[in-house]
Amino acid sequence: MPSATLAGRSRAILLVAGMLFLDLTTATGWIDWQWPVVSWQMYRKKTREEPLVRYRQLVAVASDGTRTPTSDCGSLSVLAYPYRMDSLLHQDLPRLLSTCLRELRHSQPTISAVALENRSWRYDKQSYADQLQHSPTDVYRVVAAPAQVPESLRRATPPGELIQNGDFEHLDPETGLVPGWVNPSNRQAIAVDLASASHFGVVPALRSGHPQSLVQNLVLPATSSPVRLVVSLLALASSAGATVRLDIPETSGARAEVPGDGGWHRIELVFDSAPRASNVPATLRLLNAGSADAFVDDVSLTLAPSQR
Amino acid sequence: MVFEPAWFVFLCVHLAGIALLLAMLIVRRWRSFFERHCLGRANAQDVGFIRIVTCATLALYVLSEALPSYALLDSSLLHPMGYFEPLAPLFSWFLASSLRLRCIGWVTLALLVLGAVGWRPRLTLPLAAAVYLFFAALLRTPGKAFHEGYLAWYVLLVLALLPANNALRLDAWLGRRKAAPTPSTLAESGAATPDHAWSVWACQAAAVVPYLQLSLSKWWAGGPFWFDGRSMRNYMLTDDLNLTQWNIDLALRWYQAPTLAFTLVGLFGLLVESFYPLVLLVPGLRVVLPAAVMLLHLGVWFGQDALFLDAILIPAIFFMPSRWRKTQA
Repeated sequence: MPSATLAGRSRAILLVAGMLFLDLTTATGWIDWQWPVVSWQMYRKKTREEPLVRYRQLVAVASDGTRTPTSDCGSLSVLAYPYRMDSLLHQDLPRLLSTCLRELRHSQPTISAVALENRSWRYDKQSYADQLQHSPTDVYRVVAAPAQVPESLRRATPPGELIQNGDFEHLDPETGLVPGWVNPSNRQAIAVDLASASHFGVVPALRSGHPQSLVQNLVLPATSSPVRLVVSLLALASSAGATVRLDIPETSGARAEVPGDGGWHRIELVFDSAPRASNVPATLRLLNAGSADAFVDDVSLTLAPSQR
Repeated sequence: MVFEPAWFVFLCVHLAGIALLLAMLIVRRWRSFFERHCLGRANAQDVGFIRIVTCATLALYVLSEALPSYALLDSSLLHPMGYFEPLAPLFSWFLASSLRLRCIGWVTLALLVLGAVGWRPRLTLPLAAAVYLFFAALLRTPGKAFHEGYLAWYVLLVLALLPANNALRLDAWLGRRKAAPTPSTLAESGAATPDHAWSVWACQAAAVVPYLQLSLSKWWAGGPFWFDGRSMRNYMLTDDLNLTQWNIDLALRWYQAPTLAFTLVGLFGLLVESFYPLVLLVPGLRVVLPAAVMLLHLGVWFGQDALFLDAILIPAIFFMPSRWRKTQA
C-alpha cells in the first residue's frame, strides 16, 4: 500500500476496523486485555424482579448517639463519586472506615464512630421513610478508642498462647472481622487508636435488653498433670455490666467483672484444671450488659503448672 | 459462551464489519459506494467542531472530578490498574500529595483547553490524550474500571491519530492576522472533502462502536425481556440509594409508578442503544439517534443518579456546522 494513502481515508478505515476488533475481543475474551482496554457490558443482566432493594450507607455516630449519614466523611470527596466507595470498601473495609473516622473527627471531634449500615427495603410493603426507622440488616462500626492504654498495663505475649488474635490486630480486610473472634449478633465493631492505628476488640453495649458478646471458641490440650489456666486481658468499660467468662464443660469455669469506671484494667482469671486424657473445648466470653461499649485488648490464655 | 442469537449477531457484525472495512482499502468501487451512500459529507470545520466538543467534554469532566482528595486515602487502598501496574511507584508518588494530584489535573485541563481552541493540535491533541489517560488511571486507583470519560477519550485518540485538524484553530487565526489569507487556508475551512468525511466518520465510530457491545450484551445476557419494569425499577432504586453524588433520585420519588412505566423506560433505553450504531451506515439517522442517546443518558442521570457526562455530550459531534448550514438552507 502506498504510504500516501495512509494519510487520510485509509487511516480512518484502519482505525475503525481496529475499534471493531477491540470491541469484539473485549467481549469474547479472545485476548486477555488489561485496563484501559475494557469491555462494555454494564447492566447487561436483569436484576431481581421481587420488590426488594439492598443498599448501604455510611453513618457518622456522635458520642451522644446521634447518627448522620455521610457521603464524603467531610473531606473525602472521592467517596461521593459513583463506584469508588464500594471498590474501596471491598478492598479494606476497616481501613476505609478508620480513614473516614479520622477525617470526620478533624472537623467534628464529637464523632465517636463510623458505621457501614447494610439495609434492605421491601418497597411493596413499606415506604422509604418507614424503612429508615427500622434497624439495618447488619452494621459494621469502627469506633474511636476511648483512651490510651497505660504502658504499665501492657505485657509481652507469653509463650504457649492459646488465644487466636488476642491483640485484635489481624483484621479480615473484606469483612473487617478478627479471625477467631465471633460476635453472634449482626452488629460487628472494632476500635482503632487513630494516632497509632492499633486496634481493640469491642463488645457492643446492651441492645434491646440483650447483653452483647464477643466469643472465642478454643481447645484446651490434654494434660497428664494438674494445670492452671490463666486468662489475662486489658479491658475498659464506661458502665457497669461487663464481664469476662471462661466456660469449660462440666466445670464451674471462671469469671470476673470489669470495673465500669472508664479506665483500662488488667483482668485475670485463674482456673485450676485436673489432668485430662483428651482435648477439651472451652469458650472465652466477653459479655457486656452495660449501656456503653466495652473495649478489650491483649487477650491471652496460657497454661501454667498448678500451684495446688 | 452459550450460542445465542444476539451473540451470533454480535460476532457477525464485527467480523463482517472488519472484513468490509479492510476490503474497502483495496476495492475502490466498494469504497466509492460507501462514500456515496453511508459516509456523509464533511469539511475541515466539522473536524474542528468535533475537536472542540471532545476536548470541552473532557475538560468539563476533569473539572468535575475530585482527584486531590485521593491523597487523603491510605496508600494501601490505591493501586494502578491493568497495563499501568508496573508504574506503581510513579502512581504512589502522585497519590501521596494532593498538590501533585491537583497539578496533574491542571496540566490535563490546560492541554484539553489548548486542544479545544486549536493551538498546535498536532502536538496538543496527542499530549492531551496521553495525559488524560494518566489522569483517568489515577482516578481508577481505588480499583474500579468505571466507564465515565471513555467515549470522549476514544474520540480524542482518533483525532490525535488523524491528519485533518486544520480549521477552527487559534494558531491559524493568529497567523492569518499577521499574513494575508492564502488559498490553501481558505480551502481548508470550507470545502467538503472525502478525507474530512472519513475523519468525521472515524470520530463518530469511536463514540458509537461501544454501543454494539453495550446493547447486544443485554440481549444475550439479559434475554429478550431485559427491559422488564420490575428489574428496571430495582436497578434504578439500587443506584439511587447507593450513589450519593447528586441525589436527584427520580426513581426513588416515583417508585410507586406502574411497572409499565419502568418497562417503557427500559425498552426505550434498549432500543436506542441497539439502533444507535446504525448512524454509521445511515446518514439520515444522524440527528434523531444521537439526540435520543443524549436523552437516554440524561434519563440515567436524573433517574438513577449516575452521571455519564461524556455520554450525554459526545453525541453532539453529530450536530456539525455543515449540518446546521444544510438545515438553514
